[in-house]
Amino acid sequence: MSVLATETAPLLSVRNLRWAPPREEEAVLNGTSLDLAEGSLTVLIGPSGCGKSTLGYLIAGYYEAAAGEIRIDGREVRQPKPDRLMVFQESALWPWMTVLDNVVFGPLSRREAPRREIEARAQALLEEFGLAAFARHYPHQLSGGMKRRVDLAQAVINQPRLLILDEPFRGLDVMTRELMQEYFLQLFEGRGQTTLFITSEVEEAVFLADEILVMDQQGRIAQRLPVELPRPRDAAVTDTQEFQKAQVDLLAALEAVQDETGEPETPLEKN
Amino acid sequence: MVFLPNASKRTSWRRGGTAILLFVLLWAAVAHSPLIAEGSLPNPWETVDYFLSEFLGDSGYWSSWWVSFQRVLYGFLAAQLLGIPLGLLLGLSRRANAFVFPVFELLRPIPPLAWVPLSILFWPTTESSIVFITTVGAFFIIVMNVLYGIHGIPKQYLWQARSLGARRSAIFLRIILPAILPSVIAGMVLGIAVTWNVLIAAEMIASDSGLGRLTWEGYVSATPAVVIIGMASIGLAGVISTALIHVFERAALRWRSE
Repeated sequence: MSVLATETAPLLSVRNLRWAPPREEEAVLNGTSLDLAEGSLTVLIGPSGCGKSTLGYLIAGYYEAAAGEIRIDGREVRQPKPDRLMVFQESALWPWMTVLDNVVFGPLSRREAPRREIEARAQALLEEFGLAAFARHYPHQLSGGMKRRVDLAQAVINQPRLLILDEPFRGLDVMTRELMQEYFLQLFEGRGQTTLFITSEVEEAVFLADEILVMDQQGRIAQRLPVELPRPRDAAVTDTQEFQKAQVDLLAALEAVQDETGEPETPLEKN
Repeated sequence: MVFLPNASKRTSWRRGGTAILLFVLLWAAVAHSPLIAEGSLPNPWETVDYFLSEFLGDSGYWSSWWVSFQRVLYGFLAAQLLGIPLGLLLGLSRRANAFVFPVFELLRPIPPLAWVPLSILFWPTTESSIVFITTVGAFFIIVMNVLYGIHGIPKQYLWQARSLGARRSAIFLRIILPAILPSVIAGMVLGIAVTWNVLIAAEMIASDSGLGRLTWEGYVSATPAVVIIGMASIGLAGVISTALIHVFERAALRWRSE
């Protein structure tokens, strides 16, 4: 089965990417290929340790691939750049900077505009994210959900072509997590922000995605599942039959990639 | 402090006061115990009495304070000024690390006091050799702390800055330096204690002034009260220096949670 979309030139294209870790605890990528269309919200899901974060780091330009290529708007990725920004599993806000200073860091570093102008933009964005009153706070003074919103604002203010979110809502409590998902959907649907969303949660994947990519243990995209739920979406969609069916399909796909991996485990060989 | 459960301020003052009172009573008991040679350990009130009559108004005593504090300050500052840049160089440049670190590791285990003879030979004045030895005491600690600080920076902090388009100079000034500040300050807290340790010993061996010398002279002149006053002064000096560093810490690390 082909896993590549071919209708229009993709915003992101990854071809036969190979990567072996210098340390054992990281995952191996053994020929990963995928395309992301502009304006799409693509969810990447797979068994833990299959290389989802690693793929994110490679696309962001933090790691160098052993073989294969990554292109964004046709240009090859060689190093980190503001056209693709990543929100990490653990908030990477700099704790010694206020919320505002964290958010303006990117545009200010690139001298896009006078400081005052950039700060005004950041303020407007913080307002949109419900954080206007916290601009002068330090990250440790914020709740987990608020930190995640600052992480998003810190990336979004740079208007990246591609946003990579690496399990951003992991570790939040259930209520906050659901709120953040709806929040993120609004942000995405309002801006048409092309996004690669990495998760290991089936429900989250179906709720957010235009399309779900299922990764196998070799880091290859084993299946593409389009999600045909209407947009804008809200929590009500989770009660529909279509949602349930998409969840069942995704679970089956995940089970298939779990099963096909490696030799059968025998208890004696486990150690 | 950090590891203990919180008690209210008033409670901890009361407990601290009680502890000191008990210590003074214990001291008095030991001083009067038959196990101690008569007159070798003055009791607390004799000591206070001696202090009030012989030391409080004595400019020589206060100049001992001044001299020792100055030496600690110079040694400590020199250690920071040399140690922080060297730590940064070793932590950030692989080449510098490969060249310098082996020598550094060879010198590091030498106790600062083992430098005394060489530094007396090498430096023109006693004063400069004493400051040098105190510098050595704090220098290796601060270098190691800067190195640990650099290795402890989460890689995402640096990745994010690079992605956002920060120049190398901005990454150094706005990410790396603030990120290692807590380690630098931890190095200062350790370093100031070592500085006092080394200084007092060096003063006893090689100097004719300072609190270390004062204490030693109490021994030489067989006046135990002077020894006790010298020791208490050194303890107090250490407490004051550490408190000053904590004031600096609180100002510099406002962004950290308690």
